[in-house]
Amino acid sequence: MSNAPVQGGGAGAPLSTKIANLVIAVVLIAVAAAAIASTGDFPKTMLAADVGPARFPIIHASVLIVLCLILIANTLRMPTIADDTPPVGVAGYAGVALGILATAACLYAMEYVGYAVATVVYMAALMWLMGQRSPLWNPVIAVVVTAVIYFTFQSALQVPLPVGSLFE
Amino acid sequence: MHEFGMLMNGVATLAANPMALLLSLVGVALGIVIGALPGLTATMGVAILLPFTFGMDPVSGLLMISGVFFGGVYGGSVTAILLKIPGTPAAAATAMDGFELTKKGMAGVALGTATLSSFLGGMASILVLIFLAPVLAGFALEFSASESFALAVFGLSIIASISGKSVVKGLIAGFLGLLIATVGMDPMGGFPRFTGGYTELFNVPFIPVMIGLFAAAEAFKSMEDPKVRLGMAAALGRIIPPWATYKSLLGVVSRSSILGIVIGIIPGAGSDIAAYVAYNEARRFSKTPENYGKGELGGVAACEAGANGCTGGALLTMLTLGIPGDAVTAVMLGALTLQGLQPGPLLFKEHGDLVFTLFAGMIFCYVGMLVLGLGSLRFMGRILQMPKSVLTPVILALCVVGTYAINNSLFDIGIMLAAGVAGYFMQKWDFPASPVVLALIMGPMAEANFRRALSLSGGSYDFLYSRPITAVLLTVAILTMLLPLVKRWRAERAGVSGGPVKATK
Amino acid sequence: MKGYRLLTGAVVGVLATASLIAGAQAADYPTKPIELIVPYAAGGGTDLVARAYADATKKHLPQAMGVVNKTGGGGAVGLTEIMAARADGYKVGMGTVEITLLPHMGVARFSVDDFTPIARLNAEPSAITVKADAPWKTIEEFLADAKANPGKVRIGNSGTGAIWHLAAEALQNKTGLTFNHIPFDGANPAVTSLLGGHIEAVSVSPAEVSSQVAGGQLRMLAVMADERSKAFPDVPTLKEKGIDLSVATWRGIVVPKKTPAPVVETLRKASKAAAEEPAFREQLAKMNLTWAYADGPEFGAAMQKDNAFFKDLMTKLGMAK
Repeated sequence: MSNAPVQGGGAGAPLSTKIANLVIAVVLIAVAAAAIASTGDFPKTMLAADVGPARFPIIHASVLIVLCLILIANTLRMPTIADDTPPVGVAGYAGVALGILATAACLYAMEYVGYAVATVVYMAALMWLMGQRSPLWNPVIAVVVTAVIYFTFQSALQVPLPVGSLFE
Repeated sequence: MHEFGMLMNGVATLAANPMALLLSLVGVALGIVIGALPGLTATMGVAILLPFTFGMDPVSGLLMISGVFFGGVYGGSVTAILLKIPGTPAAAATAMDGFELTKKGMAGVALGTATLSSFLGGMASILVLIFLAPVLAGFALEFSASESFALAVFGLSIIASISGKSVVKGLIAGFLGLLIATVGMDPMGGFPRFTGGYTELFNVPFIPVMIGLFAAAEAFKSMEDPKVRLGMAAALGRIIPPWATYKSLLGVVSRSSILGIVIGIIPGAGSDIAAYVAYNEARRFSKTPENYGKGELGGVAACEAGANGCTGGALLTMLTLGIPGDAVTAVMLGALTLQGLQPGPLLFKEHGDLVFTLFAGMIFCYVGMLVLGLGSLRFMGRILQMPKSVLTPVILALCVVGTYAINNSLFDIGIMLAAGVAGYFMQKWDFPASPVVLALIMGPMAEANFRRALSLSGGSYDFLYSRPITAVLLTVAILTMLLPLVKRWRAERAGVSGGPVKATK
Repeated sequence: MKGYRLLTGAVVGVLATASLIAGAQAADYPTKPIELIVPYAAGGGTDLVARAYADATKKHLPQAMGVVNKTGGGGAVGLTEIMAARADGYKVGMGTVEITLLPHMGVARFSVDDFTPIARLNAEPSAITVKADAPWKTIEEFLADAKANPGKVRIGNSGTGAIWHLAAEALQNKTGLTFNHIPFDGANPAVTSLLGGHIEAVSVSPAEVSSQVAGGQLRMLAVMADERSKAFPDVPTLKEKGIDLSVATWRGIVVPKKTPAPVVETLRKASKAAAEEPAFREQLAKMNLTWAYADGPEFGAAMQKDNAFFKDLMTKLGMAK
C-alpha cells in the first residue's frame, strides 16, 4: 500500500532513527501503562448498561503498547544503514531550542506585561534568532505586525487580549 | 418544477435588494479571513456577527451569516496550503497535500484547485438543499448513536492511508491521539479523566493540539537551518489550474461533494469528518494512490469539495427539522428564530418565499466566494515572498493569538506549545501528525456513541449488526483496514518486499 | 537605535495609561468598560441572553459591557473565573444553575456563597416531551407505562449531571419509578434522537422543543414549573397532577462575593432597568425564552433553595462528593 521501509524489515534505517524509534516506543509504553494504572481510580458508571469511563482508555492504551512493541521488534530486526540526510548540527538544534524557549517566555510574560508588549519583544527576538539582525527593521516589523494582530482581534473580532496583571 | 419557479421568484426578490447582496459579499470576505486565521472558526465568526444582524432585514442578516459560514469553511484552506497553518480542522486534511504542493512551487495551482473545488462542492450542496430537502430530511433521523459510532470507526479506518512512510508509526500516532482524546470529561458519566485537577482540561484541547502539531512544529523546523532562515519561502506559480488538469479532477470533486452533502446531513458530523473521508475515498479510487500525501492535487480537491459540500447538508437538517447538526448551524438557528423564522417542518410552508430568496442568496454567496477567492489569491500568495526570517515569527505570533482566542485562555497556548514541540520531534522521526488530529476528531465521537448505543439497547451488543447502516459502515471500515494489509502480504509473497507496493484496482 | 527608543516609548506609554486607569478606579463606578463573563460558548442560549442584556444596559450605564466567553468544564472554567475576579465590579458574570450543581460534584472550587446575586434574567423549566405518534396522550399514561416497564422508558438529557438529567432523576425520585437515562452532548442531539424514535422522551426545556411541537412532530406532556408556560398554555404542570416538583434552569448576573455595596447597588439598578427594556423582553420572546427577572435578594434566595435541593438529590443519587 505505501512504501514502508520500517515494516517489512527489508530496508534499513540510520542508527539515529533506530535509537529514536526505541526511545519513543519506550516512552509511549510508559505513558500508556501509566494511563492504564490511573484508570483504577475511575468510579463505576451510574448508568444502566454502560461500560464505564475506564474501558476505552484501557483499550486505546493497550493497543498503543502492542504497536510500540511491534515498532521495537521491527527496529531491532532492520539493518543499520548510513545516514544520507544532511545533519542538522548543534547550531541548528540550538536555534530550535531557543525558538521554543522564546515561545515559552512569551507565554509566561504575557500574563504579567500583557499581549502587546510580550508579542513585540517575542517577534523581534525571533527575527534576530533567524538571522534578521537589523536594529531598525526588527522592532518596526514587530510593532506593526503586533498592532495589526491586536486590532484585528481586539477590535474587529472582539477577542479581548490579555492586559497583563501588572497593568490591570 | 415547483422549486424552480420558487427559486426564480427568489432571484427576482433578491435582485431588488442590492443591500442584501452587498452584505452577503461582506460576510463571505469576513468568513474567509476568519477561516484563514488559526483558532478562529466559522462558529465564532457567526456568533460575533449575530448581534449586528438584529437590526437588518431577515434576508440581509441571514445571508451575511451564511456568507461567513461558507467563507469560513473555505478560508481555512488558504493558510493550510501556503503555510501549513490549518485555520479550521477540515483544513488540516487539506494541508496534507496542499503544503507539499507549495514546497514543490505549485502553491498557486493548489490554491486555485482548492477554490474551484470549494465552490463546486458548495454549489452542489446548495442545489441539493433546494431541490431535495424534503426527500433527504428523514435520512438525518435514521442516524442514531450506533450509526454515528460506525461512522466514527469508518473515519478512523482512514489512519492507515494517511500514515506516510510507516504504517506502524501512523497507527502509533493514531492510538496516541485516541488516548489523548479520552482526556477530559467522560462523555457519558461526566467524570473528569486524566485532567490532574485542571478544569481547563475538562474538554479535549483539540484545536490547540492541531495548531501546535501542524503550524508551530513547521515553524520550529524552519529555525534549524541558517541558510533556509533567510531565504524566500516558495514560488506561487499560476493560479487557475489548466483545464486539462482540472478536468481529470472532476470525478474526485463530484464524489467528494456527494460524500460531503451526506455527512453534512448527519447530525453531529461536520466538515472535518467530510474532508478526511473524501480524502480517503479519492485516494482509494485514484490510479496513483502512492502520490497522496506527497502533493497530489486530487487530495486538495477532495478535502475542499467534501468540506464545503457539508454546508448545504448541515443547513438542510437545520432548516427542515429545526435541529442544528453542528455548532455553526446551532448559532444560525438562533439567528433565524431571532428574525421571527422558526426553522422546522413549518418553515417551508409558512415562509416559502423567504426561504427560496435565501436559497438564491446562498448561490450568490458561493459565486461571490469564487470571485473573491480567485481575485485575492495572487495577493495572498505574496506571503510566500516574505523572507522566512520574518514569516516564521509572524506564523508563531498568529499561532499564539489564535490559540488564545478559542477560549481566551493562556493555558491553551501552553498546550499548543507542547504540541508544537512534540510535533517537531514527530516529524523528525517520521511519525505523521495527521492521524493524531483524525483520532482527536473521531475518538470522542466513537466512544460517546458506542456507549450511548449500548445504553439505548439496554446493554445488548446487537446494534453492531442488526442495524443496516451501522453494519454496512462497519464492514467497509474493516475492509478499508484489512485490504491494504492483505495486498501487502500478497505482494510480499510474490517477492517484491521492501519496495513501494502499488495498489492495484 | 531608533527602534529601541520606539519600544521604550511604547512601554512608557502603556505604563502611563495603566496608572491613569488605576487612579481613576477610586472615582465613581463605572469609569471603564465592564467585562461580562459568559461560561458557555458564543452563540448558545446563555450567550444570547448575555448579549441581549449587555445591549440593553447601554442606556442605563455610562460604560459599555463587553461579553467574554470563557468555556470549558461544563461551565466550571468561566464560573471559577467570575468567583476569582477582582471584586471591583469591572468583571461581572453570567451565572447559571450550574453554580448550584458543580460544587456538589467535586469539580469546582466555588460554592453558591462565593457570589453576590445581582439579577435573574431568565428561567426555563424542565418539560417531559414525547413523540407525537407515541401511545401516551397524558403524563399519567406515560408514568403508568413507565411503572409497568421499569428501566425500559428511555429519557434523553443534555449530559450526566447537567440540569435536565437531574430533572429526570428528580421525577424518578418523586414518583418511585425507574427510567433509563440517556445522556447526550447537549439538548439538541437529544431532541434529534427523540424525533428519530430512538428514545421515548426528553426532559429538556419547552424552548428547546418548541418548533417541533408547533410542527406537530412532538407532544409536550407536562412542565416541571409552578405555573403553566405562557407559550404552551394547554400543557399541565406536574403540580396540577399531584407531583410536587419544579425544576428549572436560570440565568442571571452575579459578581464576586466581596464586591463593594455601592457597586452592587449601581449594577442592580441598571440591571433592573435593562431587564425591563421592551427590546430586551422582545429579544427573549423571539428566542422562545422566558423572561424571569428577579432582583438580587430574591434571586439569591432562589439560588440557596436550588442549592439545597440539588445537594440533597445528588447525595441520594450517589453523585455528590
